[in-house]
Amino acid sequence: MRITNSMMVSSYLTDLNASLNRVSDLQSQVNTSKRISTLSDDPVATAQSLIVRSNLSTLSIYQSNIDTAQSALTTAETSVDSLNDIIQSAYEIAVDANDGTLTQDDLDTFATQIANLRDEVLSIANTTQGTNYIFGGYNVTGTETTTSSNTPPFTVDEDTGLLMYNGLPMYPDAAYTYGVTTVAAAGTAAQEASETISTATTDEDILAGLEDSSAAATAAAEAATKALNAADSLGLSGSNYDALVDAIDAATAAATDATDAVSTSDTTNATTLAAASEDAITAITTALSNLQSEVTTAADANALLLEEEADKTVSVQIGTSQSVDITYAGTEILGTGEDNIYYILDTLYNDLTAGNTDSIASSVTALQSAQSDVLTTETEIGGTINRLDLLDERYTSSELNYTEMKSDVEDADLAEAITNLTMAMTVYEAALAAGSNIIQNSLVDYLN
Amino acid sequence: MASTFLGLEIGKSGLTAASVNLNITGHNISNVDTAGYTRQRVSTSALEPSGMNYVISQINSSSTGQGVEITGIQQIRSDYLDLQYRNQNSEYTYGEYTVQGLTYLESVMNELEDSGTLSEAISDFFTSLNTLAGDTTSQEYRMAVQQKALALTESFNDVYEQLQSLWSDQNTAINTVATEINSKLESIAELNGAIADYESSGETANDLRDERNLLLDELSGLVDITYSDNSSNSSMVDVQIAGISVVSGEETNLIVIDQDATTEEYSLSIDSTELTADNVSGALGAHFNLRDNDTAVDSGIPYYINQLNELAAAIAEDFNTLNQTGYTYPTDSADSELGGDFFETSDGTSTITAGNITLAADIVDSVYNIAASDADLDTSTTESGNAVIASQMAALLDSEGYDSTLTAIATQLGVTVESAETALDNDQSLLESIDTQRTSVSGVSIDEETTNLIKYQQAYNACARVVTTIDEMLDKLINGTGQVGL
Repeated sequence: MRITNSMMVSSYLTDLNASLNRVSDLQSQVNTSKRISTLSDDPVATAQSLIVRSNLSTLSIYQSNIDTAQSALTTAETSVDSLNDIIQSAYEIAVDANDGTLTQDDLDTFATQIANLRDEVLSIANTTQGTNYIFGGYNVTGTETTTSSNTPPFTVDEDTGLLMYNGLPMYPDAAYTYGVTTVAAAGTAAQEASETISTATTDEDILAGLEDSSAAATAAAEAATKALNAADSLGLSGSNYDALVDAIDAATAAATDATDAVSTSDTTNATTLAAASEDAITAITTALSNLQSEVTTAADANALLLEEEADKTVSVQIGTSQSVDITYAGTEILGTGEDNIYYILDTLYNDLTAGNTDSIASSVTALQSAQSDVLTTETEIGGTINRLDLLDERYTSSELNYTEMKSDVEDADLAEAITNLTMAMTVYEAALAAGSNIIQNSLVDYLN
Repeated sequence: MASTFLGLEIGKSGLTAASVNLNITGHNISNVDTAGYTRQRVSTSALEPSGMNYVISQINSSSTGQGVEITGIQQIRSDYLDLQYRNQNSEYTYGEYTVQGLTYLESVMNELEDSGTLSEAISDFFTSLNTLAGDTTSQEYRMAVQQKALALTESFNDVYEQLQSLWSDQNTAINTVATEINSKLESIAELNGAIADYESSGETANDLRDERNLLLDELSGLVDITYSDNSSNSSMVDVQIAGISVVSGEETNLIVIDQDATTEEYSLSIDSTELTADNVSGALGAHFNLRDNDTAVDSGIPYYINQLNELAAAIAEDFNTLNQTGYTYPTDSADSELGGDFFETSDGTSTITAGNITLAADIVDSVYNIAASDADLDTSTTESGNAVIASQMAALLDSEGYDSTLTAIATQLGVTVESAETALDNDQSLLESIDTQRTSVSGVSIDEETTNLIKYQQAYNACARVVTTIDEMLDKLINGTGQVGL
């Protein structure tokens, strides 16, 4: 084939350019220590790299959520543990108080202790993580009302004395039933008092009977008031409600009359007064019974609302389709109805102050079962924390794997790149040297 | 009998031929670097004995030729190789400009960079959403979502604008290339006229033809052409683009360039047939394809713009739907109410694109307008931490896979560029090989020309010697005979 100078020059330039291209690519690899720097360098590797980056980013989201969750759960665990301690102390006190030989003063001392424990339960229920309540379900900031700037999830209603959770009474039915039961006991006491009076021989016996009658009426009135409070917390009103109010007033009046007679040692109307007490208590019992169905209906509706509250917890994503709660619903922590811890302690307090030693045994049983519930909850929380720890470890090792994969795909082996670069430079220089020799000569140089 | 001065004539013809040869050799050597130059050769033939002499020579059996005559100066060029070169050149420049345009595109959408990519913006946005789902009452978390959402829309806007700018560059290039084509077509027509005039005298217009061939080469780079000798005058060349005649003899039928007033898009037509990527190749075809092709095959800029627009629209729609089912967070000045749009258009149009997507003005004004809860917080006052909608928003990344969509777009672009680069390498090798063959046929070799110099110089010397010899002979005859005793 015929070769001309321009052919040689142009093919020389083409080859030099190709060589220089290679040098440039390798140099860029060495400078950035990345094997792929544009999408077209290796599209398959690019796709892999982008997928890995996306996975790493998702992992980091999950890891950060796990941190948040662990922090919240640790606080929760500590709180539930304190709750357990409180129940344990209350249990011991209840067992001591269940001794039939104690005086009212002893019982009052116990009552004060129980009251303190009960108030602490309220305080623990309103535990915060930073500024957010962790046992309020969705209620993390508390609510603003006309009377206060921040109402926590758990409050004790000033009028009714019941524990409210996010505005819902936690144990209205149990409180009402307690009232009914106590009134029944008071009724029995009043009957006995009347009999004492009718069979009494001395004035002292009559006065003692009158005192008992008065005490029974007072106890009935107080118990009925508690039931009334429960009905109040459910927002009830109407004729049956009003009848109960009247019956309580009548019982209070009867108690006052009897107490007056005792203080003036007037035994003349003892039978009438005792009968009045009995009647008043009967009226209360009737009123309570009439109101019962309304209370039950309202309490059932309330229970449904409380169940709905139980589902309202804040959760964070810790895996694909895996989430963990970072707040708890108060109904799960404290229980509802007669299992409610605050209710148990409050009932115990009432029994102790009123001297209802018969009911203390049932408080002991209730405390036992409450403790077992709380321990279960504590174990669950502990279990979740462990699960999160394991998940975190797995994610950390996944992260390592992905980072390695990313590096395999993207990064240049520096030693290899530098070696190749050196080789390419050598080739380039050799081409330069050879070319400069060949291209210069032509026949013209040899003519004289 | 031969004429007295025939010998001188023969010598003279030899001298002329040798000097013409030397001139042509000199012409070749001085044009060794000229682009498109074809080496020239003098064609000579022996001059036959003249007619009368021939009759006499039949009687005398002593006819002699009359020396050498120059029949012409021809170019050594292969038309076939020219055709091959021009076809391949169109392919090559198509590939060259395609790769160039795609490389810019690739750098705009380079998702491989460590920071500043669209993937990163999406990932940061969803990280902020996940954090928000853990505590929707926190103003800091809400602000983070607002900022990351803004960053996301700005990323989209930015990429869109860069793509639009690339589009605009390709559009301008179409105009530039078309104008250049027209200018070359006019030059070819002019040369046609000049060559026809020159060659009407029977000679070949070598240098003018070289010029025209060079123009044809350059033209083939701009757009693929077909050409043929003019049917009435073979000195002229007719040129066709997309099968339509654009040069016919000295007449031109130039490309008409129109520009749409609103979109500023250029459209080209010849004889009301529109030129598109389907009927032209070369640089023009490449620019058309990059500017207009919105399909997934040989995708151009509009395809990627559409993909981005779809992604932006999908994200906007999903978020708007969710935000509208959720409730805002109540503040001192605003109640909790159903949320509005999360993303909206910045230019008042109804369709969301990557260019006009922006964070809704409500959310820009107040981060509490991010409707994170699924209950009215004024009536459900105990649900301040309700984050149902926020959790659903955070889960969109897994369920809708926006990052995978982006990866798919980037990968497709990478594959397109890579295959275009490979095709270009192949085209380039092929073109170079054809060019090498062409140069092999028509290029000037200094060694060869120098040898010819020596050859023709010797020929000239020899002919000069012939003339001198005949001169001496004649001198003897004229001045030396009949001078007896003088």
